[in-house]
Amino acid sequence: MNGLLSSLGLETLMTAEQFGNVLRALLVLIVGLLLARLVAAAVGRVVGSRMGKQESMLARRGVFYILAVLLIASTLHQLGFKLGVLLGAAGIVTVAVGFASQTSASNLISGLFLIAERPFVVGDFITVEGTTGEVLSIDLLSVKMRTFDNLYVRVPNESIIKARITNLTHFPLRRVDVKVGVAYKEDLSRVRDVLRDVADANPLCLDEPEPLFIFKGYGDSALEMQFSVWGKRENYLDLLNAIHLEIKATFDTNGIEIPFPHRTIYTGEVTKPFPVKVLESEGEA
Amino acid sequence: MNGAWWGQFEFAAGETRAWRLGPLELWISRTPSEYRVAVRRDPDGDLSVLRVGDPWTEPVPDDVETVRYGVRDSARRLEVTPATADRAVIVKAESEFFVPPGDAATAFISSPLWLRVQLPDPKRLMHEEPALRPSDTWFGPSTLEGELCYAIRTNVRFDLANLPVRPYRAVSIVRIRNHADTSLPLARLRLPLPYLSLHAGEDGQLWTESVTLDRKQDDELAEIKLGKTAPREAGKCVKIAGPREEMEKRHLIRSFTGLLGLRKAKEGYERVVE
Repeated sequence: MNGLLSSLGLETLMTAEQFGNVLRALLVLIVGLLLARLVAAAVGRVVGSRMGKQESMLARRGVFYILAVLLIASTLHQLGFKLGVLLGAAGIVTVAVGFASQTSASNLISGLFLIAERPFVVGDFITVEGTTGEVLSIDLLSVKMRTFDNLYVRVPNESIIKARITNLTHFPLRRVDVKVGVAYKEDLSRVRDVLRDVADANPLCLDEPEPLFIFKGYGDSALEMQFSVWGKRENYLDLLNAIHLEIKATFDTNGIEIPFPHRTIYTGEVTKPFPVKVLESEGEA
Repeated sequence: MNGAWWGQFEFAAGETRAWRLGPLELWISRTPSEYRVAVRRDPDGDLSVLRVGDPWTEPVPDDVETVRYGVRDSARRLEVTPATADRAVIVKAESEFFVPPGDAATAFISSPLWLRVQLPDPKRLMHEEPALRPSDTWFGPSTLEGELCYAIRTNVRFDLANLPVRPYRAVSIVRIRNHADTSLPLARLRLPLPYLSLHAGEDGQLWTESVTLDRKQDDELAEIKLGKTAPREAGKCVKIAGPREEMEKRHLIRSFTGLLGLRKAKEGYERVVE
């Protein structure tokens, strides 16, 4: 050992015994961290099989952090540090670091609130600050999301706590609102019956809660209405597409016109047509 | 037995057999390493036409949806069995009916069947197809909690003589006894089809076990009892398929809260217009 120390030129820094302690402490730390990771993963798996993804992640992190703190304490003890003195020093350091890292501390506390309040859990689809995606993880500082076009988005916990969040997958049912307009010549009660028939014919459209027909008003170029149907959350996109296609097809079959804005241009004299003058370009002349 | 479309079917290599059950048309073809199941739905066609695994020599039509199953070595024999719906069914009567206090009623309700194709030795489910896919519906006190079911709109019949024999539907008998002091409105009735077996009568009609609902005094819940055998109204029957799920007693009490549609979904929540 002395030979190793002298070859490294460290004999002036520490004795052979101290060097042995450092090596032992490092070994305990590395092996301990590996073991802690394995134990945390096992606990996460057990919790995950009985509860959800969110609980699994919390259990895994919690176990790992507790074991890691114990390991570091034990390593410091091994190195001969007095833990009481260190904790006292840590208190002063925390105040100093706390002032310096307000953002991180704010994120950390927001993260704890997010975990306790559970506005969403891992695996939910949420919209926050205009970004919609699947929640991959809720960490101490930020929430990680995957958007529908497969982008990785990190949102700090602090902004999530302040922002308005929409959870798209919290409830088992969703409503599809179809905004549709028909020509003024159409019979509205017939239109309503046709819409009801379309909803009845689509198996993904729930029979109950019943589809909803709302007359929205006399628009500029159409009688405007809203037809809302309910579907299972998982079938939302299928239902959204199917119901629009089916309404258009059924309106076409039944001769119901979906108008679009028309623009009539006249010169101020209703009866006279536009004067049209044909000009020859210079090249042709 | 008349019109039995289930049982074991022999398939020579390259052979196709055809089924037609009401609106569902289905073809199964076998090659040495593959089965093909082709499906077409024709709700506007003649529903009385019945094909029961008949050999099909013409080419399978083009406008079908085909599913292919690759196998190591295809067996000569496939089993086709009927099955009840894979979710509970909510029966919505076309006209509301009531059971007066202290009285009882027997209703005959028919529900569409599923066709299952199974591989032999050991028996494995290969394909499943509803003869008629009922619409989804939600059964629960609100949009926040409840259960996804199928909806059937039917004219509930109280007379067996009025019931047409349809090979693609099974008949369930629901006996309702109202022990309370008030009339029992039956706008919706939840039929726990996955817990019921299928029995074939001599005329080819399929029956499930009967379901008995007892409404106790001042109680919104109903005690439910499932029959053990085919109902006596079915006559002589042979059991041809077991239930999809076994019912647990504990499950029974929880799951049948609001069975009689008394806790009908609140009307208000959907009437709010943003």
